Amino acid sequence: MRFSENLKLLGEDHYKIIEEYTFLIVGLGGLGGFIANALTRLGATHLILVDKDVFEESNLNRQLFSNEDAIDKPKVEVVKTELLKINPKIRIDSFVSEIQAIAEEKIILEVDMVFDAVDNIKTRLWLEDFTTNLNVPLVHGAIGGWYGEVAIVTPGSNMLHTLYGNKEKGVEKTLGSPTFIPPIIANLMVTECVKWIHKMEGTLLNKLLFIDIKNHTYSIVFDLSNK
Amino acid sequence: MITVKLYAYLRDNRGKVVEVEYREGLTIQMIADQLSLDLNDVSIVICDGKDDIPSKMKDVLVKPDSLVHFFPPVAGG
Repeated sequence: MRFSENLKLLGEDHYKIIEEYTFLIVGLGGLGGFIANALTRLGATHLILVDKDVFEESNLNRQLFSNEDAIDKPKVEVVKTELLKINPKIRIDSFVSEIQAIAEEKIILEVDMVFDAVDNIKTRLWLEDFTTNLNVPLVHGAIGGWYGEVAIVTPGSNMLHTLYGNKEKGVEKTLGSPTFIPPIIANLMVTECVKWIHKMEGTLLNKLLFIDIKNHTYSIVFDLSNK
Repeated sequence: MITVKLYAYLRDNRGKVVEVEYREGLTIQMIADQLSLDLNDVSIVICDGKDDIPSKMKDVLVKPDSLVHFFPPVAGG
């Protein structure tokens, strides 16, 4: 059976649970491709992909579905094609667009969970407001150099506004995005999503996990529930 | 001595771990100033297990053996 290895851990009802969800992935850069891959292999039945960009040569070092043939093609279209090879039955809606431009689309307003995989603080803050208005959780992930962070942001918590404040950039501007950091953080984001949909304990609910893979520190550095 | 741990570009010209001599009335802001660290470049401060954003932590008084972490923002995708 397709993806049956997931059931040993997640239980026989896993597919019934995950098929209830429509996942919106905003940004198909380093994080977004790995998130889309993992959700598909977990048995998700409906993904919405949003990214305005085409693949470029500079993406080849880290973006899962980038390759020579994909250069200059819209990321969402390439990723959709590849995901359908993994599971031809999955429904994938794709938008070559900024998220803000399609925010009023009915299909977007009906999502159940949003993945923040964008590359700039301004859009991250916009997504936090957007998911608060929609009343759905936002799975946040960010990367730069040896570092990454993950959290589940609940509607109204204002966690990202609190953390980013008026900042315009992070460590990625000087350290870049090496090959090995996106899959780690993307898969942790998906792990948190799985724990959320299965209503498990121990999720990073309004807690920021900061990871330093150079020095092997893995710690919750900000916990909104203590404030 | 107070132990200060820094991450990413906050280590530039400072190092990974810095020790700061304790004196009475020493605050997080004063430690940052001593390290020429602009708290606008910092996303989160942790002092002896208490975490918060710099504006909420800057006036916290440290203890003679405090452990302070300064984390930068991370925003790449």
